[in-house]
Amino acid sequence: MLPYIRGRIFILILPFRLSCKDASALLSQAQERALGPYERFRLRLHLILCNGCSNFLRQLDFIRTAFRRHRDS
Amino acid sequence: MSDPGDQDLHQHRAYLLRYAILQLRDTELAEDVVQETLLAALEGRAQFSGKSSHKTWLTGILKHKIIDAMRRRGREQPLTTNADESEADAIDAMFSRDGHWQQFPANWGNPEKSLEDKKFWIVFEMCSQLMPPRTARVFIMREVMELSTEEICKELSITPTNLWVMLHRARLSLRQCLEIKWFGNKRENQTA
Repeated sequence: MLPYIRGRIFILILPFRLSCKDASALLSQAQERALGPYERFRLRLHLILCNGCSNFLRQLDFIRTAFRRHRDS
Repeated sequence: MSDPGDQDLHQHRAYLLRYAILQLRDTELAEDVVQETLLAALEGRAQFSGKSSHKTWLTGILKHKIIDAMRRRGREQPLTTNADESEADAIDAMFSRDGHWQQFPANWGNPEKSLEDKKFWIVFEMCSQLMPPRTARVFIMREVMELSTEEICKELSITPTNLWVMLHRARLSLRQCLEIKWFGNKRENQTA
């Protein structure tokens, strides 16, 4: 019973799924603008499933920190 | 704090020049801009309020001079629209056809530790140089000068989408370079 339900839910959420290419673009844009609630939802879903993009997010924050440190030293 | 003397202004020249070269990517232009800054500082030093340090005050003047120089240069070398295609191509190259990472971003562990390491900064500066000049200009306006999307788009006459594509491209190439040249080799940063 359970795999049947899980499979159906998976198919339901398919339209919301982002590729890594799209997710990384959104993550980058989030450095400049506020994302809308639908964008955030799709992104959060993707990040739960994707370590690569979660790592990319942390790398973005680090790059920003590094440039500011470089500027201020 | 007293008015900056000639010695003070001269002392900061090296820092101002480094800052200007980083932003303008043009040593000659940077030298001109620093000269303008020091001249403006000399003329205006009676107005120095003493609330900030000399360095901060000078950097403030410098930032305005840099924006002016970029504006003048922007008029002489307008950003061409077909450049957007090469940015998009560069981004596409980082992903497979079905949108997966070609090079899966690794876990850098605690990357802030590296900020204390001189060797890291050498790699960092090298990776920063890899960007094409146009992309670098935009990246620096955003990340170093901390101008907003609106301000940058207005200065360079580009759309927000143009800007975001360029910034994304810059970040992708930077993270790839840093991972290959620095974080990828750091065994202690790699977790499962």
